[in-house]
Amino acid sequence: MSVQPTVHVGHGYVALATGDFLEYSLSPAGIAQGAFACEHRKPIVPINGPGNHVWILTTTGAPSQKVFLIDQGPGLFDAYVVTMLFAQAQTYKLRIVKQPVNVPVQDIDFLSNTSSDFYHQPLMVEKI
Amino acid sequence: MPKKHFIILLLIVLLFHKVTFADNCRQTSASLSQYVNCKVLAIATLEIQETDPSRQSEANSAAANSTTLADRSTGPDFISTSLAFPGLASKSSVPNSTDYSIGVSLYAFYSLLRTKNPFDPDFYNENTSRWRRFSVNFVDSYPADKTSTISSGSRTYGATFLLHGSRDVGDPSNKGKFVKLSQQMGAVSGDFASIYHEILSYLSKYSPEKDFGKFIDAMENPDSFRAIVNRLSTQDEKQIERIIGNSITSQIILMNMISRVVANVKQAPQFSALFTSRISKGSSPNLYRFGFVYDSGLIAHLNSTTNLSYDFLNAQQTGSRDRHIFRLVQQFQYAALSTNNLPKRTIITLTGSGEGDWGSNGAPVYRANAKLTPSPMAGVDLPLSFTYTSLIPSTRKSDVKFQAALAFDFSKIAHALAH
Repeated sequence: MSVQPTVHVGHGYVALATGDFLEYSLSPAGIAQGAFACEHRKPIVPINGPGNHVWILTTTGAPSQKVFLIDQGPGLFDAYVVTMLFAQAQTYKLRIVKQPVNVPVQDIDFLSNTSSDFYHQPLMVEKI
Repeated sequence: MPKKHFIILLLIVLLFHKVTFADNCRQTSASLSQYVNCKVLAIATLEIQETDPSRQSEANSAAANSTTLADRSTGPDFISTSLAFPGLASKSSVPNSTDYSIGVSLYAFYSLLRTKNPFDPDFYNENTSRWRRFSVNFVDSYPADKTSTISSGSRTYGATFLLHGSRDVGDPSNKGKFVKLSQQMGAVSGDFASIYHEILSYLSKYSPEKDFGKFIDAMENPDSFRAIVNRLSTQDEKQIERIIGNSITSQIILMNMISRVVANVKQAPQFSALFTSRISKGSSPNLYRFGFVYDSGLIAHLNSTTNLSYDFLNAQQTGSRDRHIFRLVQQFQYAALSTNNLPKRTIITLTGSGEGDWGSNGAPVYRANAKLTPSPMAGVDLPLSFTYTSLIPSTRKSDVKFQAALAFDFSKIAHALAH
């Protein structure tokens, strides 16, 4: 596997109570290309372009262009995946923070020198 | 003798089969998410390797009774061999012979020099692809009919070198081509989510942790992941591969799309130079061929191969004259039937090709070839070839010939057995 992840914080699972939400931030060195999806929404949002990409996955509230609602009921697990292509970006920094408690769930750097590489970073989310 | 050579090759393959790794995912992954990423890539890569139509395992086209008119742009990853027996051919004015061929990539020699296992994924991916660009092949032909014009048979030596063009991926004019990839990303991402969830559910049976959430979290911890993955049996790994295989299509489409876009931007067609010499053991003319091969995928499952060469036919008998020949071959190859189970591979390939030879001291010769190639297992092909030749110089007549052969690509066999 030529994509090298460096894990600073790397939880595989997070439980979200009503009112909790996840802040996603994806920073490429170059032009980001990828998608954010779950098992039932393919994609939730495409990722394309330079600069920092931020979005929110939440349990409550109104969805918008950068805010997405969890679509599974309490007690059900859903895999949320951030997919990154390395065609135009050599590195990515992915940071997912649980709010409002401000606890990092994932903080991972990805590096690849191969333009045809891609990587899927999953996180299992349960609404409680 | 061919049989002896063949047995030696079989022994080499059996030896390597014992040490061929399916992949190195268990060793290189520190967490389940890394492991699943690695397995998805390994299985998709395997399918691409097993179904690549540009690799040649048949005997060189210059060989006396080759089953192909066109040579491909690359040889095997490691070693290939083929056998054509007189009993597998029809009687025609082209004398039958036993042809034994072997193709070896420079990578095979390089791995030997480095005392590395050529099927070790780490070594394979360690900047060694340039060694797989160059391959050599050899065909030994033994006559079936001692009274024929090729009464003493021939030896054919060939070399193929894959030439690459390369352009800058970061060129602004090319960036728009990458945007198309985003359309595929959603399905790929979602399918991976399903694969990951299903593998987690499957592995949870090995964990004493009954809380699924805590188990998932533990699988991202290197120590806990290692404890679980070390308990996996071969059957468990096969089940994981089945789970991935059920949703692998979108991953492969993405891999192919990335490869296609990158190749498109780089404008690097599969373009090779080849040199072949067929030396008669008796008094038949010797053939020296220098030319180029161009391989390209046209649409899904359809591959085009073009050969353009200069042939020099060096007469060996007094009264015969040398010939300088311009040769053009066009071949289309269609993967008509493929397996659905792992490892995926092509079962039946249909091939049609035409050849024109225009030269000095003789009338033009045209050939047409139709070929059905069943593959009973990965890396094992049984080409059934029908060739029409407009003019056989020795008889001044046209000819139709059926020739069957057995061809083996040992790297494909080894990879398939490892999975």
